[in-house]
Amino acid sequence: MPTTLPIPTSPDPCGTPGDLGDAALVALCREGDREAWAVLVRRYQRLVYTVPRRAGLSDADAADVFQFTFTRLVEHLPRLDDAARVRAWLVTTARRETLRLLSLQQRIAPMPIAAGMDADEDPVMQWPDPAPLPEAQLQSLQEQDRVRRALERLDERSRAFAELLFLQDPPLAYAEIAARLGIAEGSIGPTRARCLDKLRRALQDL
Amino acid sequence: MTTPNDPSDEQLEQWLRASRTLEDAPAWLVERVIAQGPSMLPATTPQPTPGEVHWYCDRRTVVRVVLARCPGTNTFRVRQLAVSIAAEGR
Repeated sequence: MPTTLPIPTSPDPCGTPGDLGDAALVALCREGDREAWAVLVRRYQRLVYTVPRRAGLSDADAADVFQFTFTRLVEHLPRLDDAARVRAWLVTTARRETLRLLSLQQRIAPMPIAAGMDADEDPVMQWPDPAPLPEAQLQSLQEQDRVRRALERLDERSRAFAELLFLQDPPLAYAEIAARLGIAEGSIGPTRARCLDKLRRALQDL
Repeated sequence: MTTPNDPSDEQLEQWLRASRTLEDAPAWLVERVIAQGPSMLPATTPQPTPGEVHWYCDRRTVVRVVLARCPGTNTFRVRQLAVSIAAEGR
């Protein structure tokens, strides 16, 4: 009996970049794929922009950090060892540039980042106190961004339900949510459980 | 940096509520970065057309290759590759 050995190949070049994982997207970007680049930027724009904003930088400075971070990513693409960890790489780079701008604003001796310098060589990363952006906060930001991406993958009804239940500030009363969605107030509990199950599955698919 | 793959309902709810403070970058900024990227990326290769199936046989080995031709060129990407090797003596 002949043995058939299907061999997985690189991402289908005719596939949709929006459905691809980070490693496949990075591989396409390395080949100069513009659509993949756009997907990658849109996928992580919220996370990267939030890092400097969370540290208290202005809109203009946050925009500088944002642009710097993605520019560095383009330069770094050929050397990115673990493409699946591009999210962590982006956060680390945004944090480093944020701390550099903060140091300038606080009139601490500026420490320019040399081209090609890695994170562990960067003097800013050697600071004993990265107070504005501790590691735990960055980890938390990544989880929050990941769950929001998973939310965007849910069906329209589940997404609308989750947005009303979890994303409103101040939170809405169950009666208000039920009225807006045209469902019984008593069904919100079971719907919530089903919605969170869907969200958990969507997270696993990311 | 680990990512919990099976968070509890409470953890999911906590992340969702906390995510209200995430900020979208201004649309003009996102579009600018998207527009600037390709100028720094390697030259875009021609997009391939749908696959062309090719068979290659050599003694006990049969190879099926689905190639995608890049328009206007004689270069291809390999979309699928399958190899069949018959047992010895057959």
